[in-house]
Amino acid sequence: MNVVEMHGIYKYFGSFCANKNIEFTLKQGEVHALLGENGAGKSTLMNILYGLYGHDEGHILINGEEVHMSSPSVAIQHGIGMVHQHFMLIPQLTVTQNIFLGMDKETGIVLHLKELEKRVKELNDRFGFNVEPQSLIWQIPVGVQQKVEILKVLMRNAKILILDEPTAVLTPHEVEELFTSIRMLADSGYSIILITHKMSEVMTYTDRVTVMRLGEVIGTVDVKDTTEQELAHMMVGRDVHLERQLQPQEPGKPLLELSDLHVNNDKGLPAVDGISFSVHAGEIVGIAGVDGNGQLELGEAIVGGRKIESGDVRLEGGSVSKSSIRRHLDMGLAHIPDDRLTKGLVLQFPIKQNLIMGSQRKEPFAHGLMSDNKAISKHGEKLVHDFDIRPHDPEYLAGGLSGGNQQKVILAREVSRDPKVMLAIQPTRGLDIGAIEFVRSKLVEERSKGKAVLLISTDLDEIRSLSDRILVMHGGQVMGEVGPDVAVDDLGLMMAGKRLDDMKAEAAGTVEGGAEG
Amino acid sequence: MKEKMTGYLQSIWKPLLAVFFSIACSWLLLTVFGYPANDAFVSLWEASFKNLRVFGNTLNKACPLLFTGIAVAIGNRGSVFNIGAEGQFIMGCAAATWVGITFTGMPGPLLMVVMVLAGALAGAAWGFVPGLLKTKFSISEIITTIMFNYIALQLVGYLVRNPMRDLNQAEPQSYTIAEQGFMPYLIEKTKLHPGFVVGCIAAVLIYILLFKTYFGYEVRAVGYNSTAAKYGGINVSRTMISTMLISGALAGIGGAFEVAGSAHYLYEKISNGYGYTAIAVAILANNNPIGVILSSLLFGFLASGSTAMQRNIGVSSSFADIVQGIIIIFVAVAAVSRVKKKRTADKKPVLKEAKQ
Repeated sequence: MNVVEMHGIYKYFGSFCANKNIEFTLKQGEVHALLGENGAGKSTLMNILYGLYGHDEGHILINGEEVHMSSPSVAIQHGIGMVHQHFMLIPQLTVTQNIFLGMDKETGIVLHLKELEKRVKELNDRFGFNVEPQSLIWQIPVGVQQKVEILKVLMRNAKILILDEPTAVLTPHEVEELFTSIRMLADSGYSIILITHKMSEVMTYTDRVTVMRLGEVIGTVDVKDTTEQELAHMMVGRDVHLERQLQPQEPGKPLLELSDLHVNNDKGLPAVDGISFSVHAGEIVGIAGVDGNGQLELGEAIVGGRKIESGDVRLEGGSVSKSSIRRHLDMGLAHIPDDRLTKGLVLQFPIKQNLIMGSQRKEPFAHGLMSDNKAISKHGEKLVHDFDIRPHDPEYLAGGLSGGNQQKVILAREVSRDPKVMLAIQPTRGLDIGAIEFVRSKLVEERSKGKAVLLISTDLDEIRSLSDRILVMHGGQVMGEVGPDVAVDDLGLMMAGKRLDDMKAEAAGTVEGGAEG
Repeated sequence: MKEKMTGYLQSIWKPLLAVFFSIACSWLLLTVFGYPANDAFVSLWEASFKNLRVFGNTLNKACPLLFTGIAVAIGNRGSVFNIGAEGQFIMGCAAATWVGITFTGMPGPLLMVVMVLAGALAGAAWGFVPGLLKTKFSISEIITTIMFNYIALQLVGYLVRNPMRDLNQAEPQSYTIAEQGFMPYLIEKTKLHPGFVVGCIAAVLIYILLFKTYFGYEVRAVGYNSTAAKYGGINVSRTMISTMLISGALAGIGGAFEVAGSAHYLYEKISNGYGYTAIAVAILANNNPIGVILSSLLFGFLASGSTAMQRNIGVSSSFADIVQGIIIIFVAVAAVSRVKKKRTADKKPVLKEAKQ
């Protein structure tokens, strides 16, 4: 039975058509993925279903009955609940109190917290959420917070759940737990829509998938009848290659060396707690870890944007631990920052001026004090074509570009400076699959050119497909170094704070114990 | 080239529209209050353009606004909001006066140059401290520059009552500077001193500095996004302090010209709020130094016209302030509409980015 049917949905923003003749159905008890690139219209469609946007044409049927979705409260009345990508929880309140917050209409003005708590516990047990109703939000991990968001929706008697990129901030282990609960929900009759752009999740955890591209539905298929390649093709409209493409290559001399590095976070607490490693010419070293375990501070310290408390950073053997950022850049460090909008680009500058940031004082862009606008334009013209930055207009303001093209501007700038060491922090976060492919291929290209590449990313697929060696960070320390063929489960354990040495010892212990028994 | 021209046109039509609307509003206001509006505007016009003498006078009135206006404009470009042009201007006046009454034996041209340099130094010093406080201790320059305005004002109050006081005068004022230090009048029968011309040259130079040099690139990069500038290897603190130094020096030079060209001595109300009006002057010009030439002229024109209006029609000279206020409101509306339009234009891609 179809619990949701959307027919001929059109949605315009001004003259821009965000949804075009959409046909979408959701069956009862299925986990249905909505897959597409940024800007494909997935969120628009779901916001229409949830009553946040009105649609310009088409109808929506819920349980076979036409409904006019004028507002989220109408959607909630019809049993639709949405869990947004960004959590809307109050950290100082308990789980129950947070759940209660959205329910004032149902409960009236008298607080029935006890009764509520009982219902939370019931749901908890039924779907294996393992959420302690009394705990404060700020004390529980992100993965559990995600479940609180789902509980909030369930408590409002939703039968149809829309989850918007629910795994963006979770560890692999948390992802698995989440999907176990989701599967239990589906088995007991709930219907789930999962907005995502992660192919691996679709393949592992969902029943059917609808692929969208440029505002249109390309097709709906059963997951068991399709492959990742086919889905990627549907998403992008051409073949994409995200699989590992590293040619075996002997690494050269160390270009970036860290020894016993200690760095504090903004609150003055230790964020990087004694890290040592080196990156050699012609290799990519990946730093994996859950967001907020000191990777960001590590990256900022390497580029010179954050004070180093103790320890040393050396570029090609020369210490830069007390040097300015400019000195780092002059010594041959390239930097793709984690946040392109605040750290990477001046949005009010045209592309060409962003492309010379860091080189603005050097020939040929400046002669003495005077800038050479012709040289800057020529440089811009060249890179815009070399890196296919769209529009192909170096005068275009960086702020008007799409995320992928903004990242290309940064990449073009850093690569064109011909660095020795490339530091890339979350280089593909929030990008389209096409742009991801481009950025990754450029990093691989830098490796083949004999540069040392340090990749800091929370995306495990990215780390595994690009790295020669992987270091896992937790709590400001390195848990261990593994190869790219490491099992995801082991990576997950290390990301959660288990040391590789301990894991090996335990494994040895079990084998030994088994032999003795 | 054609694109550039349309760019200039686009940047100029909004201020022009604002001026036009404010004239229309003022005309209405005058009529409502029962004044002969046409006559009022005629006398406003004649006060600046009837003959060379009054025109020179208008340029002299515009001169302090021109210097302080450029000072505020370069600050705004580099995101150091210099509300302290007033204090820097006053300090420029004080320093120039001190030179003028101390080194009375110096030959005229040299004395003039030294006075201007002293004004620049004093203004720069008055800008340097807030700049330092901002970069070292993150204390908002908006607050410190205002505080420094009061310090400058009280300091001048002390100077003209005590060490510099000319006891032959009833009102507290300083000695008159050495006569050979009086700036020459450029055109016969006018009191036009070289300040406005030098100001125009300064405007062009600052324009070149901002838009044609790597230093200007860095100033503007820091102004738009200091984090990105920092990661681009720009020394943000040094750039901000340099901006503040240049800004203060410009306002100080304005003060020196006011003393050496017009007033010839120091008194408490020598500034007449130029440094504050300069904020409006800079905004009307969209922080473009060359645009500041035009907007300072407009405000100078209003200032010299307002007295004429009072004399001929009996409209209070404060009416000029009302007109200025109306202009500022319209310019602000134009600026806000610009920001808003940009935001709605940005909205779609941003939504897509964030939500999917």
